[in-house]
Amino acid sequence: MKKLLTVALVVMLVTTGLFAQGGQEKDQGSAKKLEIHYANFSTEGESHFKMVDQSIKNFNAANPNIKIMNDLLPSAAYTTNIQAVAASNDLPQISMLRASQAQAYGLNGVILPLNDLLVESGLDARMRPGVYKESSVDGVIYGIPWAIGYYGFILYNSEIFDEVGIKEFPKNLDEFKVACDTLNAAGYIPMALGDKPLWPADSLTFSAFVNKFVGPDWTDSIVAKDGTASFLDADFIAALTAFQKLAKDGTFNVNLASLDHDERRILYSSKKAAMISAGDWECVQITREAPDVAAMTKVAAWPGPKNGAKAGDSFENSSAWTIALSANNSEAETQAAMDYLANYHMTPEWGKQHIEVGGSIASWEHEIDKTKINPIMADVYAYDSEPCLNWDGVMDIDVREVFQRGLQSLLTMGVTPQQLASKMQAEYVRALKK
Amino acid sequence: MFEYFGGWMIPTPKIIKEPTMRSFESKEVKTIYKFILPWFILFCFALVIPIFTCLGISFTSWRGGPKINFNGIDNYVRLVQDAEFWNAFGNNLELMAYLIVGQIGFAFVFALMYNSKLVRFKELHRRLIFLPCLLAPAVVGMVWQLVYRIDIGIFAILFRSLNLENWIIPWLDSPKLVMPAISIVLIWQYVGQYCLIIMAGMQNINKSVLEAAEIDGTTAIQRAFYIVFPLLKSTIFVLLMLVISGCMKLFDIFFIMTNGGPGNSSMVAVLYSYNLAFHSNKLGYGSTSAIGVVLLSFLLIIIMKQFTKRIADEN
Repeated sequence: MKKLLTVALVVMLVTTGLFAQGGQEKDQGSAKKLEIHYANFSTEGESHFKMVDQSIKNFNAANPNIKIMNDLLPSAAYTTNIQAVAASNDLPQISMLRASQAQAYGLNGVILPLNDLLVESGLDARMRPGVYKESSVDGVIYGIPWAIGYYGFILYNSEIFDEVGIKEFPKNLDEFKVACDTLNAAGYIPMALGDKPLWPADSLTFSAFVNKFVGPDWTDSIVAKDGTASFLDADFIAALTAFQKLAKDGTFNVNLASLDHDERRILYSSKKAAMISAGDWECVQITREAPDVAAMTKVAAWPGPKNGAKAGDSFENSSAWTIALSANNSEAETQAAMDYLANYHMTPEWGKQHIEVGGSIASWEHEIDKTKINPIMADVYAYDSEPCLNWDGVMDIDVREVFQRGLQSLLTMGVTPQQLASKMQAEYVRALKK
Repeated sequence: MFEYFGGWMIPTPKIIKEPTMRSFESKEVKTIYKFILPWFILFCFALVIPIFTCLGISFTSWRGGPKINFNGIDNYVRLVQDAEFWNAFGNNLELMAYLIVGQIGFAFVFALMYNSKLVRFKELHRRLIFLPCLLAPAVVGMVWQLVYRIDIGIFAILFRSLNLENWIIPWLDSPKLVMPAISIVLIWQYVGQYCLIIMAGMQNINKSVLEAAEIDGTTAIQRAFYIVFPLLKSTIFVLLMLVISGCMKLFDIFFIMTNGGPGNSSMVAVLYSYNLAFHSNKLGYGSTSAIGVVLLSFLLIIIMKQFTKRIADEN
C-alpha cells in the first residue's frame, strides 16, 4: 500500500511538473503580447455591446503584439465589483467609472490624471466643450466622458392622454395634479417610478424637477461648495415638499421602492403607466420593446410651480460615465490604452454609430444623421430645453448617498422635507470641511 | 555493563520503560494538533487576520487606493453619534424580537406537533419544513420578492381572486411593514433548523414524566408549557444565542430584497457597513462600523449569557 501511494505521489509530481513546464513555455511564448483589460458594462444585449466589441477586435487585428480583453459585467454587478477593485488599488488598465467615482479615485491616486495624455493623443481637440465638468477636480481630468446623456425628460403616451381627455401636457404642477387624478380615475398609473437602485428618483426625476424651484445658480453654488447656497434654503425645501406631494397624490406607483428602473419602463411599454421620467437610452429600449407605444410617445419637460419658476423647461445634460486609466499602468500599457481610445473607440465614426444605435450623443464631435436617430430622441433633441445638472454625477459622494436614500424615504413618507434637508445639509457641511 | 546476580556475573538487563500516561498524551496531542493545524491556518486567514486588518483600517480615513491617513479615534466618536448606524442596529434588535418569537416559537409548536400522535406523515413534514434551510439566501430573497409583488405576487393574486383588493399591500415599500415582512421570510427559511434542534432536545425528556402527567389528567397544552418547555430550557438558551448571532450578521436577504429601503427602513448594521465601504467609498469609516457591529454582538451575547445564567441559578 505504502509503495502504491509513493508511486502515485511520484507520478503526480512528475505530471504536475511537466504541465507546469508546458504552461511556462506557453507563457514565455505569449509574454511578448501586452494584455490590456477594459472593464465595462456594455454586455451582450446592451446597445453598445457590438460597437465596443468591434472596436476592440479592430484594435487587436491592427496590433498583433497587444491584446485588449473586453471584461464585461452587467451594470449593477459592475458598479459593486469596480468599487471593490478600486478600493484594493487593483483597477484594470482601462475601466468605465462614474464621473464622481473618477473624481474620488483620482484624488486617492488610484487612476491617472489625463490632461497631458488627452492632448498628446489628439483626443482633447475632438472633445465637446465643457464635457469634463463632472470628471475633473480643479482642472485635473480623471475620466474621459463617454456620452452627453439627456435625462429627466417626461415621456408620455399621447393615446392614453387622448383617451382620458387630457388635451395638452400640463404647464405647471397644479395642472399636473389634475391630469394625474384623471389618469388615476381611469385606472392608469400616472407616472411609473422604479427606485430600488436609489439613483432613478434622483437622476431620472428630481434633478430636473428641482431646477424650476431653485434655478441653475443655486445648483452651481452647491456643486462648487462655495458656501452660498444651502439645502435648508426655502426654495429647496419647497421642491422637496412638492416632490413628496406628488407621491402623496398618487402620481407614482405605490411599489416604487421595490421596483427596478427597468421594470418601471415595462409598466410604460405595456400601457399600464401613462408617463415615465426617462433617460436617453430608454428611448431606444421603448422603441425596441413596444413600437406601438413608441409611436404614441411624446416628450415634455417637468412642470414647475405655477408662479415664480426659477428656470425654464429643463433636461439634465450629463456625462455621468467616463473612461479612466489605472495609476498602476506601465508606460506601454498607458500608450496602448490611449491609442485604442483615440483611434478605435472615441472616433467620429464610432460617435455617429453611438447616437444611431444607442441613442446618446458622444462626448466628442461627430456627424449626426437626423434621419437615422431614434424618433423619440429626435424629439428630445428638438425640444427647447435648458440644460441642468444631473445631481447623481456632480454631487459629493457622501451627500449623494444621504440624498438618494432620503429621497426614497421622502416618497414613502418615511421622512419630512425638513428632516431630509437637514440631513443633507449636515453631510454637506461635513463635505465642505474635507 | 555487568552485575552480580546469585554469584554469577550477568549482563545488566536493559530497563524497558513502560509508556507513561504523559508520553501517551503528548503523542495524542501532537496528532490532534496536526489535524487541527490546516483548519486553524484557514481560520486565521479567513477570520482572525481580516478582523485585525479591519480594526487597523477603522482608525483611518481610507477611501481606497494608496493614500491612507490615520485619524485616531475620530471614526469611533462619529460612530457613536451616527443616527443611521443606531437606526440600523435598532432594526437588528427589532428583527431579533420577531425572530425569537417567530423562529423559536413556531419551531417549538412544530416540534410538539411532530411528537404528537395526531400528526400523520411526520417524516414528510420534517423534510418539507427543513427544505428552505438548504436554499441559498439569495434565492430565497429573489423568490419572496416575487411573492410580495402587488401585481404578480401570490398574495396579490389570491386577494384579487377573492375580491379583497384592499388587502393587497406593498409590503416591501412600507417603512412600517418592511421589517415584519422580511422577518416572515427568515422565519419560513430557518424554522425547520430550530425545529430539529428542539426535537433533538425532546428526545432527552424522560417519557415516564410525560406519561405520569397524562395519567394525572393534564392536557397536551399543559404538558407542553409546564413540563416540556421547562425541561428544554438549556436547548432554548442555545437557540437564543443562535438567533442573536444570526440576526447580527444578516446581510444577503436584505441586500437582495430591499437594499435597506425604503429609505433606511430595513437597513441592518452589516448592510450599513457594506454601503459605507462600497457605496460611499468610506472604507475607513465602514470598517469602524463593522467593528462596532462585532462589539455590539459580543455585548448582546454577554447580556444573554448573564440572563440565562441568572435563570439557571434561580432554578
